[in-house]
Amino acid sequence: MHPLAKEFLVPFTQDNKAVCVRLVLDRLEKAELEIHTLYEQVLAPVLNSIAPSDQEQTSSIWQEHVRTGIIETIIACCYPYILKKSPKVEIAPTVLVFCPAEEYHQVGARMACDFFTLCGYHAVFIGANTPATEFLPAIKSLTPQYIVISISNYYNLVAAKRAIDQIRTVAGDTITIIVGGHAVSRNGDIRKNLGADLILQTYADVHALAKGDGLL
Amino acid sequence: MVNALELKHVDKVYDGPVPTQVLFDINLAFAENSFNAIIGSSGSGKSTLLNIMGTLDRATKGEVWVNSQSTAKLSRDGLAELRNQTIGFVFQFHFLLPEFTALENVLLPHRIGTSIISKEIVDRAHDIMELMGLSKVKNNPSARMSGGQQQRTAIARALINQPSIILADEPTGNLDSETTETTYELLRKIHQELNTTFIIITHDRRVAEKADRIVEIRDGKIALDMYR
Ligand SMILES: Nc1ncnc2c1ncn2[C@@H]1O[C@H](COP(=O)(O)OP(=O)(O)O)[C@@H](O)[C@H]1O
Ligand SMILES: [Mg+2]
Repeated sequence: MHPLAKEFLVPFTQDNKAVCVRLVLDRLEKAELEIHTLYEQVLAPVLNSIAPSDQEQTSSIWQEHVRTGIIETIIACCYPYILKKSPKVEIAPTVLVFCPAEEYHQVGARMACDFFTLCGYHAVFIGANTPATEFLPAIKSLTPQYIVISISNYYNLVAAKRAIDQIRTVAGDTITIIVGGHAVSRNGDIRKNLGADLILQTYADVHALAKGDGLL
Repeated sequence: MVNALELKHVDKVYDGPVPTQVLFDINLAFAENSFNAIIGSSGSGKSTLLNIMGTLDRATKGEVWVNSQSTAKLSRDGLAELRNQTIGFVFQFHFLLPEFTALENVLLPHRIGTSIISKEIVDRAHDIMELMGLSKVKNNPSARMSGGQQQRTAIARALINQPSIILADEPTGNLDSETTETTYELLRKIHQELNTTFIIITHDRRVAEKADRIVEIRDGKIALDMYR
């Protein structure tokens, strides 16, 4: 575990939002911390340690909500730092990020969205639990080059597949569909099964994509 | 990995004035001691699939292997014996005999299997009923039990021959959400304590998402095969 994650866990498990937020902002202010390190090595592991999305509940649900709220506050606070780092791109490709219907775990999707912003994309996070009645109009209006679907609970792969089928019906292969998230990582053939084009799980994955797209 | 059950290239065509194919080249293997859910919309072929897995119905094409044994060459009696020894069934409607007590219903498969019921079997029935939380009502006529108790009796009945595989077709489909939760907890407990392989058809998201694996059937084909 990253040393900051260890330090962070203390106020975090006491539901002490102010201390958690201050701890992280202090490091960002001093430029001692990269956003992707914060997300991947601090926030994700501490969140997983209290709210495993696929196991029996280890903490109570209200506590999971409080702690998820702390993480989301920190993510929101990171935005100015992300903008500072984000390269200036002439025509930034649009990336649309959402979670399928009934998927309420949105932290991973928000992190992914920020990774795309960090790498020069015009990334738009729609939300958790996004049904076709929401994402189809969004696709029509924003004409994204990439769609990212984030799935935590593996049951929601069913809804993800349905979403991908619906996107293909209106857009064919003109949009690259990316899947990621906890539910995807454990399932070998899932990309093909879902009909997605790519699996991206890490900052390094997004970074490599951006290099390929000539943004970095 | 040892497979409890395996389907190889299974097709199913129902005869009739217009023959209809409802399963298309299904290949599926279920590992021993695994807990699996099958989902899919109504009419997609789930029950047909389960009946073929349980050898209650024959595939039109393809093979069914139970505990690494092909069922292709078994006679009707051979199949019945294999089924009786290795597979327990639970259905949405429990098919208990209403005038018999819960205990008598649980012992029923044994009456069919052999003519004498040994003390060992009766003891086992009591143990299973205790595991299912039925000790207090086991001498009640089954018609006078609650829906949840009746379904638990049906599960106990499915377990009496100590099957290595339980096939369940919407076992909680007829129960309210709280009773569904308890019934599901009991199935999990059996899975852990008796090392039984479970394959459960369910509409209930809460049941499916706790399984180790979910297979989605769509139009007679495997649409998704997902692991937790
Ligand atoms: N005995 C039968 N004869 C003819 N058609 C059948 C029979 N049983 C099921 N079917 C048809 O096969 C399809 C799949 O049915 P079933 O396996 O019961 O689906 P599910 O359990 O997923 O609702 C349906 O279209 C159904 O009408
Ligand atoms: Mg059915």
